[in-house]
Order: sequence, then structure tokens, then C-alpha cells
Amino acid sequence: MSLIKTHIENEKTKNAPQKRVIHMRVSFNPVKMILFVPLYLYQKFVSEQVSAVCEFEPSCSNFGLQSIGQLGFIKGLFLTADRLTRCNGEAQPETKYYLIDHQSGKVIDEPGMYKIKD
Amino acid sequence: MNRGCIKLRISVILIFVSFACFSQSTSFDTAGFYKHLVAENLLPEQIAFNRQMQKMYSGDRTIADSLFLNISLAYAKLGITDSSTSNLNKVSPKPPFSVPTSNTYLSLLILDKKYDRTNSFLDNYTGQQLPVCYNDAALSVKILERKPTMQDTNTSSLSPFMRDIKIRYEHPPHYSGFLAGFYSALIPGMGKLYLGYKEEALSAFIENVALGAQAAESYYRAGYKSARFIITGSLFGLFYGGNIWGSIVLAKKQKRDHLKQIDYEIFNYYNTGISSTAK
Amino acid sequence: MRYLITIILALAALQSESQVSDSLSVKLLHQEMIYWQAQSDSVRFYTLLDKARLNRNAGLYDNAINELYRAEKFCAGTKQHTEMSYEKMLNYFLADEYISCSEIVLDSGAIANHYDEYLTMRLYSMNEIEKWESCKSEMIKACNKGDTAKISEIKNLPVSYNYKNPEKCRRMSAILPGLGETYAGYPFKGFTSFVLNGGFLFFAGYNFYTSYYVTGVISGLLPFKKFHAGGKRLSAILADEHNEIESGKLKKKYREEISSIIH
Repeated sequence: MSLIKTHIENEKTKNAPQKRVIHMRVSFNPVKMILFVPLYLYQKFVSEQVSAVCEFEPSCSNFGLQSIGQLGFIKGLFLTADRLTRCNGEAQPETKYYLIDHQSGKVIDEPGMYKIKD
Repeated sequence: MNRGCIKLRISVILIFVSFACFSQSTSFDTAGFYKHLVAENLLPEQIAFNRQMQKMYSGDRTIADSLFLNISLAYAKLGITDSSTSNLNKVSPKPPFSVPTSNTYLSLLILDKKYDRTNSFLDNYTGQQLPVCYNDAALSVKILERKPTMQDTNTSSLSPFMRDIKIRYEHPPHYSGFLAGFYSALIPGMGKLYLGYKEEALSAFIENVALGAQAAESYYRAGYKSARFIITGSLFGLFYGGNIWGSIVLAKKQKRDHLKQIDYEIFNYYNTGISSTAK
Repeated sequence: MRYLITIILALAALQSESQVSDSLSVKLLHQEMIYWQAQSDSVRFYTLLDKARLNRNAGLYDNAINELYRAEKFCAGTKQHTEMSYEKMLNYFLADEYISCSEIVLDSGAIANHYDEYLTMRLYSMNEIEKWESCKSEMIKACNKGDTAKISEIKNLPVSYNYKNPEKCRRMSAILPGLGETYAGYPFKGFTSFVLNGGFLFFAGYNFYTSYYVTGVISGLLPFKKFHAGGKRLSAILADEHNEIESGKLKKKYREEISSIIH
């Protein structure tokens, strides 16, 4: 009976509702604020209203954040624009099989994959 | 009665006595039991059985190697890679396995990325007519270590899968980033088409044409100094530039993707082999 | 001869209990050996049942259920059937497979030793899969006949919650963006959806009015279409979320009643 009671107790903590957390570290930099605050507001209020669920991992907005952070402003912006062009639901058939995360079904597409130098 | 007859009678008696001892003391078919464990896919039991056998055969290197290999395989099937690796490391460098057992051993070494040990095992057999699985393993290691394979012209000794991999490895796609960018600058999406991405090329073309038409309309109606043209023109410029830059970096990514895809297929091939191993 | 003697010694070592350590795989191997050597179906059955219990105690519920499916072949008589079914029910319950758990019905007389456990699992599973009518009737049967207060408390438990149909929410959002989200209980998200959709539609209309047709279509109508479809999808998701929260509240009430009935 103790085994059953322990399982029931564990279920109570497991069933607690989980909030969606948006991770963004923004240090106080006015230039970064101009760029990242609208993106944060988009992720919090607008992204769930869009019809398509991004088939890429990370999502397009996170890709934009990461690419600007890793590759610089101009390259990051161009790469984000290119990603937005590609995010149209047709990426999977043209992707190499090893890039598909078989658990989530999403295509792994990180900014680090788009560097000129190895 | 000559000596030959006496020896014959003594050996018959000994055989009879030993058979009697065997049938009295042993009501347990060890080999049959292990086959049953394998058939039922009882992996923890297989591991325990092999460990018990190890205690008995600790002095015999050949049997110990087989037992370590069996334990490593069972752990690999359970997905416990650390234990699989540690048992694989205990197999001696040049174990005298049969061909099917060697195939399992080589598969585990390749999945564990132990290329030096694979090479040292295969070095035992240089100059001989090797089984297909040995040649497959040798080629796989060369490809995973990014070594040239062009001098290995004999493809008949490889499996069909590895023959295909060899051809693809030796003929990587040669796409020029400069050309891809140039084509994309000429016609949006053409660079992606050159790289082989038809759907992406189509969507890039449609989006750039739509944004370009929007910018053109703003320019035509409001002039180049209007806020409308500045905004729509910048948006078009951003996507047009993104399309060119994306094509250039995609050409580089193609080559990396090609090799990583080959690596993935090789690991998948050996993984499937391990999962379907009966012994 | 040397080979024969080593085999005999090996078998003696295997069969000797003093050589078996406490680790799970060795215990499972020992049981499997007994199963392999068993002469009767009854011995095979009980060996596999012991293996299932070992797996269950180690938290390997899937393995335990596999052993029980193996044991089914050797099951004979109601006593063995009850033992096996109870063990299956316990493993399904611990593995959170409540549908399979609730499908197992045992005779209360046969399960007398574990009746409390059986009742807990049965009531809890029916609650988890939202079979509240059946759960309620079983709870009333399990109560003391004299405890009228408890019985009336159970009778007053609701059997449904404030369910929001996701399809209805989707249709409402299709007619008026934001209405479905508000109906699902998220007025702020409904307001956001209304503002976004209305904004893009207004922008498209303004551009058509000022003869900027291409801009109107590309920057007005196309985003409106995307957000309109997104609003429908979001309202269905929000309805499901609402239903999950409400069902969770009702399940909690039932769980409290179940724990008060079971001693």
C-alpha cells in the first residue's frame, strides 16, 4: 500500500501547471534594447497568434537573437531574413536526415551552421 | 590382446564413465539456456550470465574476450554506453574471433569511435582475402577519419551500402559560394536552385518579387524620399541581401552537411546491425 | 575430462545460492534459470510472477508487464489468474497507464488480502481517466452503509466540469477574431488577437483606399490571413488548456474524497 500512496503523492507534484518561460538575457545596452525589446514583446504577445508553428529548432525569433549575437548585426540580420524566407513548412523534405530531431520532428538549424570559415 | 585393443577398451570405458558423470550431474543445458536468454531478449539476465561465466573462465583469454564482448553488446542494446565502452575496452587488442563475432566487435568499436583499435584489429589480416564486413569496417573508419579512399579501387569486396557511401564520399558536391551568391543577385532564389534547394528557391523568389513589387509601387506613387518607400525599400533590401548571403553560406554548409550525412548513415548502419544481432 | 569437470563446477557454482549477489540482474537470472529448468507450468508461472515483482520493485514496470504477459501462457485456475491480474493492475498503475489499470476488474472475495490496494487503484484510475459516474458509484459502494453524511457528500460531487469545446472556440474566432479566446477564458489574448487582426485589416483597407493595392495585399491582407488562422488555432489550444485546468480541479476533489474513504 505504501508503494501506491507514494505514487499518488508523486502524481500531485507532477500535475502542477507549468508556465511557459521565455529565456532572454538583455544587459543594459541601449542599442541592444532597441533590437531585443521588440523581439521580446513579439515572443511574449504576438508569436502565439501566428498560424504556423516553426518547424525549425531554434524558432525564427530565437535564431535571429542568436545569429545577431554570434555573427554580428549585419550578417545576423541577413541570415534572419534568409531564415524567414525558408520557414514555410517545406523545409523537412529538403533537409539532410541527420539534421531532423526525431523526437520533436523539428529541423535543427542553428546560426553556427552558417559560418564561412570552419 | 594387443596394446591397441587395451587402449581402445580403456578409452571406451572412460567415455562411458564420463558420459555417466555428465548425465548424472548436469541437468542444465548451459548453451541452450543462453540461446533462450538471447531469443527472449532478456538483456539484464544475459549480462549476469556472462559475468558468472567470467568468474569461471577468468584464466582463458579467448573465452573471456567473448564474454566481455557479449556484455558490451547487451549494454549497448540497453543504451548504457558507459558500461558498454568499459567492457569493450577489456577485450584484448587482437582477439581471435570468428567472422560473425568479429562483425559485432567491429560494429561496437566503430559506434564507440575507437578507430585505432579497429585499425589494429584489421592489421592482422592485411594481404588476405577478407570477408565483406572487414572491408566495410576498414572503409568506414577511413571515411570517419576523413582519409582518402581513392586508391581502394576494389569495390566488389564491399557491401552494396558501403559501395554507395564510397562513391558519395569520393564525389562530394562542388558548389561555389561565389556563384551561388552571383546567381541569387541576378534572380532571387536562383542561387538556391543552383545548390539543389527547389522549394527554398521558389519561396525566396516569390517573397523577393512581392517585396520588390511593394517597394516599386511606393517609389512609383510616392517617390524615393517618402517614408513609405524608405520602409518598403529597406525591407526588400534586407530580404534581397539575406537571400544572397544565405546562398553563399549555404554553399559552404552543403559540403559540411554532405560529410555529416555520410557519418550519420554509417553510424545508423552499424546501430541497426547491433540491434538485430541475434548473438 | 578436464572440460567436463570445469562444466560441472560451473553449473554447481551457478546453482549455488551462496554465490548469487544482491544485484537485480543476478536475481533475475536466478529466477530465469529456475523457469528454464521447471518441469511444471505452475512453477514456471510463479517464477515469472516473482520476476515481475523483482522488476516492479526496481521500478522497471514495462519489463514487469512483459514478464506477466509471458506468465499468462502458464496461468491455470482462478487463484493464479487473480494474482497475475492484480500484479498487472499494480504495474499499470505505477506506470501511469490508468486506462489499462481501470479495465482490470477483480472479484472482491478473491482479492480479500489486497482489497484496499485494489480499491485505491481502481478509484484513482477511474478518476484520472475522467470516468466520474462509475467512480462515484464505486465510492458509494465502498463507504460504510451507516455513514450517511459521507454518502451524501459523495453524491453531491459533480460529474462534469465547465467544458469549452475547442471546435466551437475555433468557429467563434473565425467569425470574430478574439471571440474564441475570450470564450475560452483568456480575454486579454482575445483582445490582442482582435487588435492585431483589426490592425492589419484596417491597414489593408487604408492602402486600398489610397490606391496602394500591392502594399495592401502584401502587408495587409497576407498578414491578416496568417493571424486570422493563428487566432483560430490559438483559441482551440486555449480551450484545451482551460479544460485541463478545470478537469484538474475536479480530479483533486475526487482524490481528496478517495483518500478519506480508503483507510
